[in-house]
Amino acid sequence: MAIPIFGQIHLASFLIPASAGVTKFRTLNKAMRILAVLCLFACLDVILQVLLSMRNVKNYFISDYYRVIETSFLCAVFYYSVAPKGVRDVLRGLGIIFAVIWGADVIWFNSHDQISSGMAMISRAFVLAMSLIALQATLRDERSNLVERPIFWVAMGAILYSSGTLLLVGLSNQLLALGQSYFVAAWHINWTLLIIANLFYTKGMLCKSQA
Amino acid sequence: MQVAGVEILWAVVGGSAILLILAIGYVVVLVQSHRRVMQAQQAKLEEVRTSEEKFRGIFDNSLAGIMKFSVDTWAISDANEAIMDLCGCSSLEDLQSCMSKLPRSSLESIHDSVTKYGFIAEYEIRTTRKDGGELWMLFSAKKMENGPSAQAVVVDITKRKQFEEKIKEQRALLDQTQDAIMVVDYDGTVTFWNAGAEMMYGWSRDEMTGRVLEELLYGGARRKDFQEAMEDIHRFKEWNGEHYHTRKDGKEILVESRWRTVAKAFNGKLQILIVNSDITEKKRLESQFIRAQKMESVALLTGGMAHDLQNILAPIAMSIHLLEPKVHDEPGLAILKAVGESAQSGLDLVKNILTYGRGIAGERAAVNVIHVVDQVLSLVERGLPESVHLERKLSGQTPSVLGDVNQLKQVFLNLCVNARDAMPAGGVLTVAIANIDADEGLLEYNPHADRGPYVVTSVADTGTGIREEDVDRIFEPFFTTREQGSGTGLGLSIAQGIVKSHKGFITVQSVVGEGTTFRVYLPALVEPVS
Repeated sequence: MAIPIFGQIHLASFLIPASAGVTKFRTLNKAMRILAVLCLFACLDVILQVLLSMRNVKNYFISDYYRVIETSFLCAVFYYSVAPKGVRDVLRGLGIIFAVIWGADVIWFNSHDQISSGMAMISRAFVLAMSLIALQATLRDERSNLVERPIFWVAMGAILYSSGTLLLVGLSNQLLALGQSYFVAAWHINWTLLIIANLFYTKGMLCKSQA
Repeated sequence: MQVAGVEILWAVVGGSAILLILAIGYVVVLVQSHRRVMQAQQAKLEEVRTSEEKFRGIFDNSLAGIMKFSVDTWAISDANEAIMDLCGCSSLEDLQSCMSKLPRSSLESIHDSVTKYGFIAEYEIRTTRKDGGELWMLFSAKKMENGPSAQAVVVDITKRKQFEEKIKEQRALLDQTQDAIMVVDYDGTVTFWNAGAEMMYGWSRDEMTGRVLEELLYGGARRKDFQEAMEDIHRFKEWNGEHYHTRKDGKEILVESRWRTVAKAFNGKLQILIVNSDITEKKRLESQFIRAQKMESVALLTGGMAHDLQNILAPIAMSIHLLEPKVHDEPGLAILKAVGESAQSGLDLVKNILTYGRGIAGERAAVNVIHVVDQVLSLVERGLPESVHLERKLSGQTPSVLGDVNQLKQVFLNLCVNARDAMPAGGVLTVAIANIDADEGLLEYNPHADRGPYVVTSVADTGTGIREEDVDRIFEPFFTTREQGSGTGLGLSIAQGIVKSHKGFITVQSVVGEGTTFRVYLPALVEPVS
């Protein structure tokens, strides 16, 4: 099946944060460097998915593996972006819990022949929770303007994407069951929010204040 | 089926939209809240910045030097232009180097005070500028609340100290003078008292400063003198005159005083500058000189009169002898005898007056004063009442003097008889002989005497003493403190005349109720006399 134009735009949007991360890597702080690496992984993820789909090979397993990378990397990004030790401990705890849940899912529940919508929802929920915690912790820091801080844009991107796609990924198998056209129509939401998230990540990496 | 698919699709879209809106709403609320906090923070920062600018301006533009330094290491972290100029430095490094030259004792004092009390105030330090010039600084510092730093304010007081030094030098010069120099307010309060005044009055500067001059120097009736002088000062702005002042030890001194009004430099308030010279001694010498002149005049006058009287009485005395054979009746002879005795008595008196006036040349020979005094005392001893004890201190060797034995006997006899009469209730009559070399101090009071060795014979009694006002007059002819008729008042005058004719002098020292000591100074012979 041919990829819709918007889908192609969404694919192209992954190159934006990845290229920004590569070019600005030296000037980035630790958290943004992790994000830059994540963006490179995201690029690889979509490239692999496209290549496999072009060969009519089911690519759900890639998403399953990418999910743990994305969540743990974002967890690390937030971990290094916040200062309070208590918040860091919470983020680390969430990361570990998610890894355990994902491990259990991969070992016992996931068959890789369909989208693991449950795990997708859980990962979105974890990212959403971690984003909100990181944003809340960032707000307490009154040293500089919020929009000048990379973590704000990264958290915003993650919140928008995770909250907007929470329901979508949860019902993705049901949508697929309804038909390809329904799925694609609904999946536009995912693409839109991914484009927005990628732009926000890019903005985060381009922020001058990398302290 | 298609309807159900559309519904599910819309449900997904709707649900996602709701979640998205909720997430966005939550974020918007957070961002708004943060913005408000940031605005408040910004306002606070602005306030702090304005305040910081204001204080920075004060710091930079202050005429006093301000710096921040570590109390322990003296490392200077900040300093304003004023302190740089003050020390002649252009950088913090220069200033650090300049401060490191501060005396060790000063550094320790500052460190101790700031560490112990948290501050040090107006501590004067002498050091050098970078160019080597002298620098006096008034150093105040306060420890800052956080950390070991302190903030110091430094004021250049070099000129003030130089003025102070100058004033000190001038004061030292004022202290060199023998005159008493003092400054008093118009109410008489002493504000300045020099070393000369300390010596003259015995009151120290600390004792006098702030005290009222009138209360301490003008005792009793003398206060009127002070008030009169003050009246003149108010009217004429100056006063010159002589005052009697009371010293700390209670003695009175006569001073020549010069008062002038002066204005204080800083407030124009009028004060009185007083310069006093002690003229007590000068006045005494003056009165002594006047008295000597008076005595000489009296001697001259009485000598002339005595000569005339001698010329009158001599024929009368001689005529008596001629008349005696011609008068045969008893009453006539008695009258002649009485006339003769009166004439002889008059001639004796005239002879004494002439002795006082001209002195008697006599026969001069080397005389051992001890022998002479011994002979006189043998005579006197017989006439002393039992209540008077005679004490001789005649042992030792004394050189001879050139003199007339009889005249000297008359002198010592006169002094001993006077001493006896001064002790009606008894006492001790002490006669002593000693040898001295007349020094400047002794000769000052006896300007006619020569320098050299003297034989001193002192006749001391423990009698009634002579009143101070009478002491100066006892050598005057016809002056006597005895009852009328019991003395001619010529004894001491003649004694002084005799001693003077021997180139000596007599001194007297007397305290009422304790006794009197006469000392007869006769020049000792240094070469053998043929």
